[in-house]
Amino acid sequence: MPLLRHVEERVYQTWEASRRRQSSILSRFVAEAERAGGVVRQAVDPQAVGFSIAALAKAQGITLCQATDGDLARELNLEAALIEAGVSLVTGPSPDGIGHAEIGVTRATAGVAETGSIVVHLDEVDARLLTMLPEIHVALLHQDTVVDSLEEGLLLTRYLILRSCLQGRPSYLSWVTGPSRTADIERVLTIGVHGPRQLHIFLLPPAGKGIGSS
Amino acid sequence: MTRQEEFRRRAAAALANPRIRDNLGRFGIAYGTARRNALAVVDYEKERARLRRMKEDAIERLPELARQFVEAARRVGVIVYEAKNAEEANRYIGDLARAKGVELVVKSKSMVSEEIGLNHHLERLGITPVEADLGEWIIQQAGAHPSHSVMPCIHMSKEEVAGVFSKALGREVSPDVSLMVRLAREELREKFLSAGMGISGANIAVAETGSVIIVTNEGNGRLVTSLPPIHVALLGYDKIVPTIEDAAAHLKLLAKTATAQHLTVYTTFITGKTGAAAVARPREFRGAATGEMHIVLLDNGRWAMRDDAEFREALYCVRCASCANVCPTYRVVGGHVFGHIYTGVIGAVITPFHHGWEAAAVPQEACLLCRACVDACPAEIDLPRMIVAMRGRIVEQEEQQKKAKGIRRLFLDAILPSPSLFHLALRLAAVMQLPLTRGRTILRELPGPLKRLTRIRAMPAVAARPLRSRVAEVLPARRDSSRSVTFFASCLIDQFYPEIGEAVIKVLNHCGVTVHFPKAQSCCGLPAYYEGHKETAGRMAKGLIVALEPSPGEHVVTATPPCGITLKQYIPKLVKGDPRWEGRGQALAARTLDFSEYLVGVLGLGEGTFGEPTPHKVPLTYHDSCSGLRGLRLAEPQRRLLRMLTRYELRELDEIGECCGFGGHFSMDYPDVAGEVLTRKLAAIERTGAQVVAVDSPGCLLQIRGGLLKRHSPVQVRHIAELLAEALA
Repeated sequence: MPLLRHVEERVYQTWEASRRRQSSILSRFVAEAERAGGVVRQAVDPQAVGFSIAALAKAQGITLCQATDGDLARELNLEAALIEAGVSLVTGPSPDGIGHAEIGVTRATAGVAETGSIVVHLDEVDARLLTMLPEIHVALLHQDTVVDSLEEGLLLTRYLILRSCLQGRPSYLSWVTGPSRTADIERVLTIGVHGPRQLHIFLLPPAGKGIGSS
Repeated sequence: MTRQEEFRRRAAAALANPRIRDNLGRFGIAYGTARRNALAVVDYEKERARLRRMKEDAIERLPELARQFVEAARRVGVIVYEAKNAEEANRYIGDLARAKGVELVVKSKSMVSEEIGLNHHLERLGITPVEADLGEWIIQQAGAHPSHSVMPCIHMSKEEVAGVFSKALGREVSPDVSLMVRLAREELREKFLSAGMGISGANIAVAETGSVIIVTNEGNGRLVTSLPPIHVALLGYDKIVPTIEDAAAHLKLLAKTATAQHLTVYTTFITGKTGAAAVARPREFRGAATGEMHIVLLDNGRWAMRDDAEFREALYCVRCASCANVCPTYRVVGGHVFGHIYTGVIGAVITPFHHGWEAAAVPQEACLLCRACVDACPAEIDLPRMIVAMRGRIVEQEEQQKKAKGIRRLFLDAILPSPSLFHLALRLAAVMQLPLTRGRTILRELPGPLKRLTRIRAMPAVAARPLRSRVAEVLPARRDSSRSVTFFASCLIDQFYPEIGEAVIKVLNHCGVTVHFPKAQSCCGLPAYYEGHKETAGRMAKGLIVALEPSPGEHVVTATPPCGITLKQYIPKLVKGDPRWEGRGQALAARTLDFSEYLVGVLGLGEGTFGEPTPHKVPLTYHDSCSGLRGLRLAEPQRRLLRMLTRYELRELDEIGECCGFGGHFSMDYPDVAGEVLTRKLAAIERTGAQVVAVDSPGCLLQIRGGLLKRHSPVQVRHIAELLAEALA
């Protein structure tokens, strides 16, 4: 598949180039994501993120939290933190959580600094719903997966989709830029229509694996 | 009923509801500022040129790209159906829903579904479609049509919306926006979870991967395409682009121009159906548990549009609605008057292809041809050009159906093009007006059928002696100079404002320029051209070429920008392809300059001062004519000349470039709509505190001066030439 290899090569070059300017790209990402209404936090120690999420839940009187998978929950030390806060945790796309959980915890595949967007590539529909149905979406993003421009973000998106498509595999990918909003009634900006009312992004240390690596 | 009468009737209904223009007027102002801020982070001209090139290429390659798109989508398991027209698309979706036992359908925003009347079709089959976009849901509950393609219920107040909520939910809902949004979330969440089918539109479709890209802010698009086991994406062929990367300029500009966001909240790339949500699998659903995705690719006039050289560029539209947002008349009458199913200027232009010429004839009347939409369009679509082309075809059809109104046709096709008849008619008018004017130059009220002309503004009397009777054919410079120009006066200056013509001549003579005034000149044909009488306009173009060609002026100078556009842009177009005339038309265009442009560009004026130094400066504002600013792209020369005047201090308007509502025949035909546009302009003038309004076009002078006189305002309106001539005195 020479086309895929060619696109992959360009993605790799973008990643290499982005790493050299990472701090300026990151500060642009943070500024734009917050302008769009997201809350961005640096997480030097992933194990501490669980406590931040627990604090968030507690402050808003939330009792049920759901994470896409057990690996992610363990990486964030989520279970221990939530038990301490008296919040229940569901891991995996279990029907016990979907439609009931008020916090959904997922990974983000990449970030786009120019627009402050996170790229959410979750093909499994029940996992994806954790970014749509709960009141709060918490996304974990590795710093070194943030690209600078919208063009670079689209290049990466093209790569991710092309990779599935060429194998005949469907895929579903969203750029999420802040919480759900509307201005349909008298142009009054209102946050949280059908999607989450809050978007929290935790920036994790570099994973060093490139972007979109499978 | 003629289309003019029908438009008046519809506009009157909209004008009777002040809510529409209050909401849209406020929105227009807020939109302008927010849009400028959002666009400040990109090179707008570069990005829109990129978007334009991308769309040109995609539409050119559409047959190949459409094939590629269909193949790619099928590779990931999508069932693609290509529908020739609305009926086929409706039948496919309705039959599918019935075959799968679907009773409830949730929809994210799709203008194409409005285009084909899908909801109506589903309802007739006993299937319940629920709109999930908040604005669309409100419109659906109200039993109405969207009046704006991005903000469907922009014309409604929150009180009206609360009434809709109360009725839909069967209980009293107070007009509290955040409460209503929360109620809608709850009400619709349940629908998302129990619907058997989700129908979406698409903003972009990608040939390489068979993906559809949907942008939404509310998040309804992702729920509609994730929760129900069947997803149907309904889209036109015009959405297809080669690769995901080609969407860059589109995505970069769409949100900025549509809602002044940098990007919409959710930009979703859907490539096939990735499964069905366990939580939302209704018992009655008999389909596969993995879910299905169907794409309905709709023609319904799009291929015909692509094959029509005059209208192909309408397919480059990204549906941002900027053309409506900046449109002075849309902001007065709203999308139910300016539009059919598709609203605003682009809506008027594409209506004939989707819904027929019958439906298109009336809404396009709302266009003033002010060109505000050309600059606002992220795909650089020349909408006014297409409006004029539409009028041409509508006039042809009316001719064939003998529907044209006698007196209008008589004037445009017989009197106007004949210099002798036209000038005779004007002389007759000059005599007949005597009992009304009694020597004055202003008519505040006209009687009988002419009353409409003075409803919103006083009218100038026809000059007792037109310019052509007041000046000689050659008007020598006051000092020796080799410079000479040919003055094209325009009907307004010649017949209504000869004093402006005299001022032009005086200033030019003073600057050492000999002025030639060929008396064979008559109307340039602009009224016929703008009203779609292309054949007449063509004849008049040739007449003017013949009248001006022998005159020895180095340049042809006009002080009437709309006529300047005719000479520079329309005449070459009208004679194009005719070997005997093409070169002559181009030569005339190349020779023609606007008065200000000539003084600054050729004579090098613009530095130094004009007039005696004065201690107290009079505040003055400048109103750009649409033709000068956007037609001829002239903004600086006029301002440089005004800054030279020692007597005045230039204060800019806060809404530079807004039309005054003159629009030639428009303000004669539709004074009530034009009057609302004028009111806004006069308020902006008042905010500057200026005592004098300078203009570069006698049409704007007629409108603004007439409006001020009608309101007994002491503010004066003067043509730049008059102000310069006065400084010489």
